[in-house]
Amino acid sequence: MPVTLTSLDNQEFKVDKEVAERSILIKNMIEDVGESDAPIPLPNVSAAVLTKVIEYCEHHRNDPVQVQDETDDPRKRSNDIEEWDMKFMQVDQEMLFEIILAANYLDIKPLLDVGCKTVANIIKGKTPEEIRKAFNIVNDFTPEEEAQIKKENEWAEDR
Amino acid sequence: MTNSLVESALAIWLIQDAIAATFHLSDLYNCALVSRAWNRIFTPSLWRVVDCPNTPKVPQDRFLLDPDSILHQPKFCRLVRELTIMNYGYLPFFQPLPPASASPPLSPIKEAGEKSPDQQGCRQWINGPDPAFPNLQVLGWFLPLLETWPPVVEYNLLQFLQVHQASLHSLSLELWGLNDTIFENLCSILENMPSLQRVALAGSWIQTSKQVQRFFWACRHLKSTCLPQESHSTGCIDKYGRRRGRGLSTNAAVRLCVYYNYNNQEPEGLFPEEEPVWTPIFEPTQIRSLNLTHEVERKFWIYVPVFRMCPFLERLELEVEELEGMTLVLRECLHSSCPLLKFLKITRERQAEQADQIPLHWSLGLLCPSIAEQRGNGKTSAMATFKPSSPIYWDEDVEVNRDLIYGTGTTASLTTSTSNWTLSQHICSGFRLKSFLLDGKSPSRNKMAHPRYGRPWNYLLDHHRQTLTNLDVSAIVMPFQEFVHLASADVQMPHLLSLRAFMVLTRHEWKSLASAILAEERGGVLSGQPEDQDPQGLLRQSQRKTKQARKDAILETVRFRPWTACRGLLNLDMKIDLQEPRSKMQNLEWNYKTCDMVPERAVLEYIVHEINQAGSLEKLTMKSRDMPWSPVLTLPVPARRATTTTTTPAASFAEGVQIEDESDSEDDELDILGYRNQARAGGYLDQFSNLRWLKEVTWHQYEMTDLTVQDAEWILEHWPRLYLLDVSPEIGATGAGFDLLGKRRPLLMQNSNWF
Repeated sequence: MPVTLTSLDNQEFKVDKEVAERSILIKNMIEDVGESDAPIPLPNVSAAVLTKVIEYCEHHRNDPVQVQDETDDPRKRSNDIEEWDMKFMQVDQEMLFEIILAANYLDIKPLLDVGCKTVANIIKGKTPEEIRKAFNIVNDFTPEEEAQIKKENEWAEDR
Repeated sequence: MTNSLVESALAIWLIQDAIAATFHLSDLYNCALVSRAWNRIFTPSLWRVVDCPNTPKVPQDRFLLDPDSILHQPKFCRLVRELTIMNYGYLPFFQPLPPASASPPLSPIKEAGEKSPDQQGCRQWINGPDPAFPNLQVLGWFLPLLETWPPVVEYNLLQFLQVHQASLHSLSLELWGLNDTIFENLCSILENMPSLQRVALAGSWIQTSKQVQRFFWACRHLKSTCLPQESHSTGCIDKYGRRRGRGLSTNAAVRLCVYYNYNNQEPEGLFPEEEPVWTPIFEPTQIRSLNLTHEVERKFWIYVPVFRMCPFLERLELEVEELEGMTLVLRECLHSSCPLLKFLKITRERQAEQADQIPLHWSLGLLCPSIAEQRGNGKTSAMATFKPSSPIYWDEDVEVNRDLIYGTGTTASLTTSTSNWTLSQHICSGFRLKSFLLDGKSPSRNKMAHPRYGRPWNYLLDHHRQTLTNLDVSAIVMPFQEFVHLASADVQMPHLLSLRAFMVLTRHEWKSLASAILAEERGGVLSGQPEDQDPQGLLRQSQRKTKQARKDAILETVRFRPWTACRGLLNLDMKIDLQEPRSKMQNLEWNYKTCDMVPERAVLEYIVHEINQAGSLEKLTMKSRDMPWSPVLTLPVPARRATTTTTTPAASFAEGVQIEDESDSEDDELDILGYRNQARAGGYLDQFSNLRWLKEVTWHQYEMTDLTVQDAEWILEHWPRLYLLDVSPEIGATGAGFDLLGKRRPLLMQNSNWF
């Protein structure tokens, strides 16, 4: 049964219920409302981002639902990304963060994980200056502040 | 892109946590130096884990002892969630050191009015809010064994635990010898830590059986407990009242537990014990996860009360040396006492000998069905993988669904087909198997495949073929007809995605398989073109008829069949060895390099053709040390291409017949150089054109024909998704083809002798 999703810019998307329910938010909304043809409003997600999210959900529609393990240590996660997901995430950085925010809003854990791993891969191994360059960030520290932070955190510095 | 978008994403702790999850400390350090906003975002992650032993950048004594140290600033202390301390000398709690005293200091807990010598120093060091680390959740406290150090160390531990007892979730302690007062105080603190869920203990500090049970009782509210690896009785007492050494038998530590659970009745199947000493009434604990290490000299039934006190146990890890006794205990307890158990791992340090391995059917019969049945809550898939190996070993699956379990176990005692029947029956009951892996260590692996033993795995496959996705039987050497039996329609495995196998082809099988192919062709099953429309068909048919009479005699041995079970495979891993007659192999001058078996080209084409039918294949691995495979990964030369009009094995069989004719006339042998020359004249690469999804190709042989530019172009055109080409022959494999692949597809990983 198809479900209609309405994006921030009032664009409507018809998707299979099975696909839409990869989002826990939508799944809960459907369960709360019951069988209805009324479109589901997603006021935090633009049409462009929703298109990408639906593409992801379509591709992973048959994946097993992840079981959250209470013993799962986030620090033990690897940064491996599947080939399809890696290609899927080859978008500009604005879209990348839009997808991450949408995944968080829609509660799509696998998509959120993939997005965060992609960002982590961009950051890893870079110096502060390289990170600034990669994300177009201005260094707003005063020299004194920067020196102070370096001193406070020097135990963690990789020399 | 605006910075606010990045910052708004990073400000969400879930996203921040996921991004920082795989960072090294230096990455977090760099992130904190990017900008003010990033500093606010990443500083908590940077300070979340303080692992003193693994933070060598700043001298630890300065880091922790210096009152001006950063760690002593409350703004950072409150960020610390996990703290690991390796050496008490690093901790300011121990400054100033108290003078050595002949009598142990009084407990700071029980006798609150009297301060221990270090207490004042401790307070001075904290110099801020109490507790020092208000959000500390995980503490690791590992202390070295120092014979002469005063017990102030333990007092400071107690003090630290007491201060942080409200927030601690997980505790790992290594202690070496505690006097009775400190031990009792430690247990009291453990009983009153409302958030504590896990305790792991190491070292030697529980001296008596009473202490074992006292400690266990103290941990009854915990979710996870790890008993100390050693429970030494003591031979001497140092000047501070701590017991040292291994003077007494450790049996005393376990003996006491037995009769409580059996109501002083001798348990059937277990050895009787002499003196029940201490039988307190215990309530069930809340423990869900338990780690136990069993010492050789310890009695097994110490674990009986432990299991019975853990009705909510879900995860059990045992390290034992004598498996048989442990199996008795497991049989006695696990069924009835731990109905929620879904993870069992038994390990041992030394290599198991065959004599004391657990019979697989026994352990499976006792453990698996009960686990499977009792976990039937609709949310679990019970045992998803079965892996017989040596010794018995259960482990968690690595798949995303952490609920899946796979098991491994020995088949040491299963030396007869009857036992294998039993094995199969046990394996087949109670759960849906997704993955079957036969370990190479399994002593009876050869029997698993042999038809003489009734193909025992067939019973397993009969039950689980609808759910199996992964079948790995590469540890056993199976005759080729067994593989065909497995891969053909005999065993339907609709969901099979991965197949690994190791097979041998004897000279007899080469020939009889060729005959089978011919028989199929004559039956019209595989023929791509009707014989009567083929201008050369009649000639071929007449040639075959003359040979068929001789071949019909061996047709029953191997029957040609399509590998229908492999059609949906994603991963196919085959190792094929040619096997000489025993008489030849016993010759001292024989080695695999001189193997002069002559392949039937039709057989090669049959195998290649069947692989090519697996259109969804993503990973193909082929290993062989025999010559027939040398040219397979190259294109046929034009001359041969002209004569081969179709890619079906049947249609190209005529060529095979001609070769066979020559071999027949020369008593089944061809000149080896002659064969090589002929083999180099053409390969089979063009017959893999259906494998459009191929991503990884591993092709290991003793010798490989050169990869030409044409071969490389064919690969580029027909395998567009290929990113790994691993050809590592001991000789050969040179050519411009590798260069071209490297230039045209720079990201393609190549592994060959050419580079």
